[in-house]
Amino acid sequence: MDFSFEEIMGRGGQQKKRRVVISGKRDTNALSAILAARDRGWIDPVACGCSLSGLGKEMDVHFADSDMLKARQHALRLLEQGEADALLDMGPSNNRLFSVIDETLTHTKKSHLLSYVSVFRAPKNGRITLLTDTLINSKPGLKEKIEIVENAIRVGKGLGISQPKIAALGPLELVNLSIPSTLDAAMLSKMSERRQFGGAIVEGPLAMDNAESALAARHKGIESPVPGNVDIYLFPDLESANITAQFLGFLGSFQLGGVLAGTRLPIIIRSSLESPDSWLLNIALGLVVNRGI
Amino acid sequence: MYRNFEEIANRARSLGPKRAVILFPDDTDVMQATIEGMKEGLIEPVLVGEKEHIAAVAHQNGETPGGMEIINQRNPQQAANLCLDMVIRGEASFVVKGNILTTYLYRALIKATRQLAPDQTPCTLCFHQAPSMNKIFIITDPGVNIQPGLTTKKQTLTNAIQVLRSLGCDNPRVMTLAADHIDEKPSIAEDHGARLKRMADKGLLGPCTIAEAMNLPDLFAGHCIEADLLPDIFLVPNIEAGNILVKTTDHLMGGVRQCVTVGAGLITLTPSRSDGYEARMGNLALGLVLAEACKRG
Repeated sequence: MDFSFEEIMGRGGQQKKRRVVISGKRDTNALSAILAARDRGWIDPVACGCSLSGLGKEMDVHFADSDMLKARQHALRLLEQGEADALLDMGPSNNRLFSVIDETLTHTKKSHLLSYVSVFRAPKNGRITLLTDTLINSKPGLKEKIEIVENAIRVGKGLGISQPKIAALGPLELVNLSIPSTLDAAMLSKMSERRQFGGAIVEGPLAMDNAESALAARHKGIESPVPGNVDIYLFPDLESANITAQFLGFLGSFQLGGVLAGTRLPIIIRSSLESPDSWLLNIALGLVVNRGI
Repeated sequence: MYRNFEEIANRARSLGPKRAVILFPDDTDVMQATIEGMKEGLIEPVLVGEKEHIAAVAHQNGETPGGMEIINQRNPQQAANLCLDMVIRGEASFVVKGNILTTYLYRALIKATRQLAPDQTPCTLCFHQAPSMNKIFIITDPGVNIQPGLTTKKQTLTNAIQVLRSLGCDNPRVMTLAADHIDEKPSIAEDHGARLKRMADKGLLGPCTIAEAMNLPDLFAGHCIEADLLPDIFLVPNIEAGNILVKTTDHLMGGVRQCVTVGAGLITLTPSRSDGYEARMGNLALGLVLAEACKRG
């Protein structure tokens, strides 16, 4: 089941046009999505850096002599100073990009550690559903997972999910001392019981079959509002999250979108999990999630 | 090679009945599948567990307790060991897990494998049929080994390749799955994947073709791939990724999954405890076909 740019944008209500600064390596698919978003009146793009200097016909190009790193730094500063409302980086979305973001954005513009949220429509109920962290933190410990959960809750809120139900996944529903992710999940679950995540409910550890079916969960003695109603899947680590998203996107033919979370300002990227024609969707997601700013 | 579970079920009907030993069948779904399996001529069941419980559940499902052989053993570990011993002695073709924690069966199988084939390690093979794929594929190992090292992964792949070959897939296509991550340094999963590919190229894993790509974005790299060219075996980095992935494939992608755990050629059927009657019937059919194939191999 796919969703559209219009639908996501519709969730944000009437929006003012955003000034978007573009960095990274020139990418044809990204460019056509940027132009489409501009033609719809959503964004006003400005490019940054020498690799985008050929875009002069389409938009203003700043810092046309700068290499990619410098251009990214310039772009982030424009964002930080309020000269731009959002940044779109055409890629590559790798550690270098995330390091520059980490180093350049000051504390006030960063809420948390960076994490990535994949978005798809659950086949069972058609609801927008989030998977995290599918790209950035490879072996998150409990401390990181708390921030990953908070980031995802924020993305969920931006998409209209006010009190998300979160499944902290594991290979089984019992705490197993040999499997640290089951301990993390149990801890997050307890924190949520004490309302440390506000109105969001974290349940875990849950195996994917318990998460997907209230009946299967009850069969195992789990009484919770989360099974069968999951808004956010929190994975044990990057391998499990990314591989699961790969299967959904490439073998399950679900359309995936993605949101970079942990910054207070929209930074729009595309990971390899999303198909190249998902740029427009990612633009919509980035703008809508951060619409309050 | 079988393209779907219906082909496996058809083949199973031509092979039955075989003696199957059912471990703790004191659950309605397990018992129903056992009785139906018997009536359809797939299995001649031997039931192992607490005799009174088993008889009561059989009675609830309309079967006279005298109609099936029951071995009384209420200790779960001893019952699991007994089931494996029966298969080793040739008194049954395969074990079916009933209402019991899988750990007991894994322990019994690990012990048996160590005795019969010390260079092997048991692993769970999940057979999948998914709407978008025109063939059955395997994901391994989502069950036995929590954080397998290179040697265990080699043994897992060798095992999976052997099982698929016995089912008629002569040169299985293998993908060693890893996250498509953002670091420049290869991850442990990628490092293992590269080493396994070198081993396979030297013929150390049996006839197979390991894909260069270790993630689906790289495998597809901007184009569609025909089902035949998709991997037959996906090796996952660890139990967490494996377990979540196999359950995603059936629960979110609308597929069908059948799990078996194999070591030293011993077949144990390890359905999820939440699997219903139909899934368990399909599981029996797979058990029959595998028991026959591995015997021939």
